[in-house]
Amino acid sequence: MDQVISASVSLAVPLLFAALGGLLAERAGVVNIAMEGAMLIGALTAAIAGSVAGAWPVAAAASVASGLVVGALLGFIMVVCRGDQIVVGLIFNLFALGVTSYVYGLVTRSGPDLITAPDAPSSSMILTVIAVILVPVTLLMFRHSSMGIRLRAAGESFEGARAVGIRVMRTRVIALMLSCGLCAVGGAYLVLSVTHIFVNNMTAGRGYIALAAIILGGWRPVGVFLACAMFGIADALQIRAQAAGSEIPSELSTAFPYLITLVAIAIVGARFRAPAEETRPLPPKP
Amino acid sequence: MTGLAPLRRDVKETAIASGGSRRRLSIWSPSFAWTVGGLIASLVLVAPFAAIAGANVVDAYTLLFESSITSWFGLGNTLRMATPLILVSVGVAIPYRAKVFNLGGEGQLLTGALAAALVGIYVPVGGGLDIAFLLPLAAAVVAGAALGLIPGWLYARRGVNEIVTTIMINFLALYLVEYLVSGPLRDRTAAYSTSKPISDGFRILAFGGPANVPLGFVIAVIVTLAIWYASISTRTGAKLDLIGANSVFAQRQGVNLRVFRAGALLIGGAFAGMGGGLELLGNQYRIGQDFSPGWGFTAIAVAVLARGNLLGVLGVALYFAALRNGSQAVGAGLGIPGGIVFILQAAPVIVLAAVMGVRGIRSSELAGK
Repeated sequence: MDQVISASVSLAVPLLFAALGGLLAERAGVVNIAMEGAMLIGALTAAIAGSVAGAWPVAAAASVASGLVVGALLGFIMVVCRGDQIVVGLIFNLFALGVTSYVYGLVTRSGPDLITAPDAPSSSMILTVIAVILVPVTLLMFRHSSMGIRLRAAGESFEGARAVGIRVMRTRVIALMLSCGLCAVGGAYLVLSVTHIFVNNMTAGRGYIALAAIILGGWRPVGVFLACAMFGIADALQIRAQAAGSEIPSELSTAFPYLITLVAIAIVGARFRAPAEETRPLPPKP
Repeated sequence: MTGLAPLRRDVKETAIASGGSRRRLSIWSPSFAWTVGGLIASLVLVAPFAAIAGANVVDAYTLLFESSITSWFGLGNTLRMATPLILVSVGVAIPYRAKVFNLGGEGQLLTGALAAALVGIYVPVGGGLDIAFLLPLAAAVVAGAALGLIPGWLYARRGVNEIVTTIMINFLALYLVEYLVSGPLRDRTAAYSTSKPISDGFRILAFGGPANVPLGFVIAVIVTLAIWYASISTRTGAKLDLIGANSVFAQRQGVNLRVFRAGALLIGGAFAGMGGGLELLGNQYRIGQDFSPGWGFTAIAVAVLARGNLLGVLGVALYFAALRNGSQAVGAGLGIPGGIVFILQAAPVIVLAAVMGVRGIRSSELAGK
């Protein structure tokens, strides 16, 4: 039982970081399909920084910084230049895969030392606590902080937001930076607390599962938390069933999160309401 | 009923009224020149990546061209690589014209290949029949279309956005293939997870000669030219573009948005499935875990760069296929780490998206869906 719990946690935490990050961007009106790429870059940064510095908090901080840079770049292209959010997000993932494989190839020429993070048992515990605390923090931020209210206004109606003096463009860029920063921590968790080494394309679609978790969670922090927990538990049970010699082939049970998302979306249909401004680019200044 | 000419005029006027450029779907428009220029300019990126990795830059370019265009062997490889990419890109580009994102090309391609493999392995075939491959190819088309129909149906009936559903279906198709090739379909004599090979009678031949151009490539080009002509000469094609230019206006003109958008996904799936079928029947003959190097994702970049123009798709897909073979050879030959190909494919798309955004040409509709 303990093993199932710890496996669920290690699967759900990176997902939760990314999904909360994606939620921030979506509530501000920007759909962040680039979560996968941001996680991957965050994971590589954590691995390299961890091996150089030797301390996992430094690696996690470097990872956040890499995420903020990615978010700023995406913000410039998607928000300031009004580039299509879906195209840019999706193709950015391809770009991130290219950049990380190239850097990975360069730094591993003399062996895997530079991508091996230090063994830090405390990192998992602390990052998990941070991820869980972020759920009520996000909730309270959306409800009560001026940043959260500005963010939601930018996501629901930019004409309205602009009319009351909110700087929509700036709000969205900041949201996207925070979003990618959180995704990067999710990637860092994979390296620091799970594998301790970077592997090419190691996020393996987690950024897309995070996208599904946001939808299943109805664009609400608690809902997103529950969706991530469900994916984590399902995945852990699946791994345990494999170990116990279950008849269900692992490929089919790995597909479970995708299947459940598809079925859930099919059943509830368009009742899951996305923030109104999502994917709509900013109109030019009047 | 409106005729073709008035519909086309509507498309043009609506596109201009919604802030698009006048000749945005024409190959000869200035924006196309920018795209072509941008693609060629992005080749400059090879130099720093080669230099950082300690390789000779001149050698890198020489090898890049030799292994993709300037030798018969390289050219043949490029055409082989381009065959599935062209078709799956058409499968993304057709819905893209109606502003529908078919991000499921990868899954549709895999499912098409899987269907063709099932027919090719289990259906008995007599010798000497040159067109026997049409049967598994038809199965591939049907399977791809069926996979495109799921997000289409969910959109039309349940109002569900196609972006997430097509991504989810990709993963389902991927894991299904992985399961089948490592279990029920597995070739026990192979060292890795792959299906049994299809019967010889179903294989699509190549023309031979130094380049050994595969017949599948010729089929892909003919099919693409045919659908391109249909897209500019039929009212259906014009209606698709009208939806893309302004869906609200199109609906007022009596175009059934749901049917057209769902239909575009169905047809897109059919083309992607055909791409997978041709690759299986004409090149790999079996389906393994690494059947596709990500054609379905590259196709999105192709469709966006070509702005949905099907002749443009043909050109960009050929360019990307050459780039893939070329950069792979450069990586292996000069010891440059992998990944450059993704950077060279993605960078121009991201820059183009930013430029299009600045110039006010939107690919997702202003009014939302």
